[in-house]
Amino acid sequence: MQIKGFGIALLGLAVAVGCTDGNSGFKESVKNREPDAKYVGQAVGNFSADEWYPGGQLGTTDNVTAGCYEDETPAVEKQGLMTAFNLGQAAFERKYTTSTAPFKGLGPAYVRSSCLDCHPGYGHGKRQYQYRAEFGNGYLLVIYHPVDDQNSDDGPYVAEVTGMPQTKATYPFLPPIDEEQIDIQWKNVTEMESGLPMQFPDGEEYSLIYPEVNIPESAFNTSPTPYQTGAVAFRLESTIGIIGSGLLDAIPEDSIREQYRSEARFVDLNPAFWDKDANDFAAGAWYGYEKLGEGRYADGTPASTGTKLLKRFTYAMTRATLQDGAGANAIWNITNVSRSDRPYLYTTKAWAKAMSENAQVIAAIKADPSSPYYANGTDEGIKDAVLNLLDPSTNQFDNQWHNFTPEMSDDQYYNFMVWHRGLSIPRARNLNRKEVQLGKEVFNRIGCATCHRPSWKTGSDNYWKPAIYADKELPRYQDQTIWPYTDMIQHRLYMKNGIHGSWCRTTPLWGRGLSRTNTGAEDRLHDNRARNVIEAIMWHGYSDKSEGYRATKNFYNLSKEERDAVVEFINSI
Amino acid sequence: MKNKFILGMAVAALALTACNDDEKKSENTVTLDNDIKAAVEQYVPNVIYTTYNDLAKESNELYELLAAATEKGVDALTQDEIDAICAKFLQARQSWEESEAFLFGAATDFGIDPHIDTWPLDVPSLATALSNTEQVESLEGEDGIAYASAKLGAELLGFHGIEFILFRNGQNRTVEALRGNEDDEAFNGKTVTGAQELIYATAVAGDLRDNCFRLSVSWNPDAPEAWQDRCEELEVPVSMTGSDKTYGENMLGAAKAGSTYATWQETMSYILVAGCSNICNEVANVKMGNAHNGGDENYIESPYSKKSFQDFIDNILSIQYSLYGKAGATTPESNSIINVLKSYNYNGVTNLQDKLKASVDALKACQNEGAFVDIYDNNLVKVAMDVINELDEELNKAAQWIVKQ
Repeated sequence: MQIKGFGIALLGLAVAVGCTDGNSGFKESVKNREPDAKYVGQAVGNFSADEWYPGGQLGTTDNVTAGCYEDETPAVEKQGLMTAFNLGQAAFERKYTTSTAPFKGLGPAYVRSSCLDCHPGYGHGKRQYQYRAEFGNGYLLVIYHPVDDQNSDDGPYVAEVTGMPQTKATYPFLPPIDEEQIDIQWKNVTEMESGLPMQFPDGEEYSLIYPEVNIPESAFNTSPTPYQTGAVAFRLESTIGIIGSGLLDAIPEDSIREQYRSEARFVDLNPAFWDKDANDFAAGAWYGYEKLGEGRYADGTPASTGTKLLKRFTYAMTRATLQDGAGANAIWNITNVSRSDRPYLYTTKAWAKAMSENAQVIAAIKADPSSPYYANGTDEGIKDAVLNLLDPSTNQFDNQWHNFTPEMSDDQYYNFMVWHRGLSIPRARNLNRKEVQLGKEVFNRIGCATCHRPSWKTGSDNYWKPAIYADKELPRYQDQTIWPYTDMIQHRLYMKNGIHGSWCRTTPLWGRGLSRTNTGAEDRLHDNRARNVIEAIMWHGYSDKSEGYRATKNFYNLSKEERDAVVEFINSI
Repeated sequence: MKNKFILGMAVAALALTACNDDEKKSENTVTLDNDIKAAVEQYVPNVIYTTYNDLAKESNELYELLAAATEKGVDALTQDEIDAICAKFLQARQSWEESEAFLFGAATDFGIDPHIDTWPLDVPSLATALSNTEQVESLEGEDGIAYASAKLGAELLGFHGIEFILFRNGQNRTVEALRGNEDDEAFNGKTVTGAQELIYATAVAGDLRDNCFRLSVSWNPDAPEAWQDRCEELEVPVSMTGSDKTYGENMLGAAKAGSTYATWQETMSYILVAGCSNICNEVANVKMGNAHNGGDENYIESPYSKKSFQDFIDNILSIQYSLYGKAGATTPESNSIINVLKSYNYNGVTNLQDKLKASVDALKACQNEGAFVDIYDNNLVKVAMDVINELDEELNKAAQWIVKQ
């Protein structure tokens, strides 16, 4: 039982309050503030009663204290799924080990040993100054061949390391990348490309920082290295919030189509997703049966050949349904823990080759006849076993070298997905306050709400689920009005050292104001470059090509009172 | 759960009605603020600072005992010395469990909780690590702490790694066992001596100690200078992000500019919910519930010392100390959260105290029946889970009530 059933006010503390202290992001409290508890659930000022419940009645927790990101939705309790939720939570929080139950199967190469490392306090990752695969570091390295051979944001991922590159390996293997050689430098923006001054008209200054990442060729334990196949560029991508993901999954595809249509009249949307001429989704917007595999809808209807679902998750919108989304993928590939529907390793041929040719690796295996890579005990036999067993195309459960068994049980995976789809959104805070009401008015007036669309209505939430647990139910969110503040569409901001691929889905703003309460940090944007809300907003106007430039310019020209009000609003929703 | 959610809304409506007498409310609110402030000023130093002080001191003593034992060597070590190390481990463990009603703050923000109290221990990886001569050499001596912290990974760090070396099947390890080779089945085919195990335990205890120093320093601005110096040497943050305040200063400065706590009422509800309620839920539904409901002993956290029930009792006592205003308190201090509730005639106080006592009693009944790992499916466990969930509800009702005053 985790939902705290009461309407206490935001402890959330800092969020609610006053002026920013330079760039520290630390807010000042205000004396004699009254708790908002007595207003919860009431229409106040320009807020409707239901805006207190951003996740709707089935998806909101009334808890707004530390730990509230961990709460289950009321739907979980209502559907009798608490035991599964709690077991799934453990799968998220605990460290995976090589072979100690209940969380076993780590490696042979891995990104982190625990989900919580990347999602500290269930929130966004924290800005890092060195790369270590440990708690708080929510960064995934992005390693790609830039199209301009220089530092373009665009270009294909290198093939020598996995798309989510691994810096850890279990004995006796070496990690694909030696993390100690990764260099992260934070640079100051001296001038906005758009020409916006770095001082508001009233004299208040702001500053912006961005990362530069370098990984030398010597850090790669692969054969070949990425440098041997082309120019290499690097970016960082941090985890985003995981709360409320199930609610986003419940937004009807037709509603999202209408949103695309309404925006396509004014901006050029990603052509991979939207066919402007047809005024409908492009082929690239869909995720089909060939990738999803056999499944079933919540109402029991089979989802067989021909099934296609709209992509809506991850920055690059690479995934459709949550049940085959980032979390469903990560519980397999971040730890490299296999399960019955994931019999393959998340590795590369280049790493497998390098390991098979490493004398120390061969010697270590040779000294351990119990090793699954021991084969006939000869150097050549071990080399062959390593090369093939580490290969991402080898079925780990059915091959000629060594047959492993699934490391995560089907029940564990189901529990994990109940937990994932069952995470709630904390209720809004301080909507009774005049500053927050002003913030809402200004947020809408200056154009922020164009992309950060305030609300959606879920439909029947006839969600897709895979065959592995097709006869079991997940938390379901039918007919809810939700307030995520995202249009579920990608836009381009053209930031300095921007996001890989240039296009980025509008990040939901709900619950983010409680980040500091839950995680101790409030870093924002895809690589945590923004140290507070002001910086996050101003990065939207770094370039005048940015689709957020006009709204940012409007923000820039606000009075301090109105700027602060927008910040308070964003921290309250 | 849905009922609780609706209850929250209903109470909100009632409170709106109750607050119409603005003059009286204002007067009462000032008094209430002062009373809560006094309770928080009692709570922060006498519960949080004291508990973390004990934890840091005891974990340091544990490290020193282990370092001395390693230095002395297993051949010269006596059973009494091993027993003393085990007792010190349990003492430090008790202080840690008694701190879990305030895991919010440094323990969570800095990731100290998962760093020092993760499970399961990765025993096969430990076997691999300790059978590697170079790695054991790296763990030896003063530099071994830094090596452990940076290289071992949380799967091999913290209380449970040390517990594995010191305890088996609920008993202290024997000196004879430590003079021989490790015989846990995960070590089959590997030769790991007791001396190597002690080197590992010492390094991990050093890392544990450093993290406990950090907990104390991050809360208490007057923590011992030596502990502050150690944190400085380690170059770890000991203040809140974006501020030079400790977590203690931040809470004590509630309702003032610079604090993240906007009002005193919210501060009290925060202690009740983010602190006390969270550990209640964790004990009932995760620590006990996952093994009991999941029917799987692998979900049990402390299998080597068989002290799980004692951990749970100490967790509930952590709530008692928080409500009563002093670590170790069996009755409320005059300035305490429970007395604030009493003096403003909160009619749920008796229930709250009754459930607190009933939770400890139910856990002691379990403890008398056997170790958790042996009786996790027993009905007494279900009884204890239920009563702890009832305590959780009472804590939330109290928190709900205080912010409506």
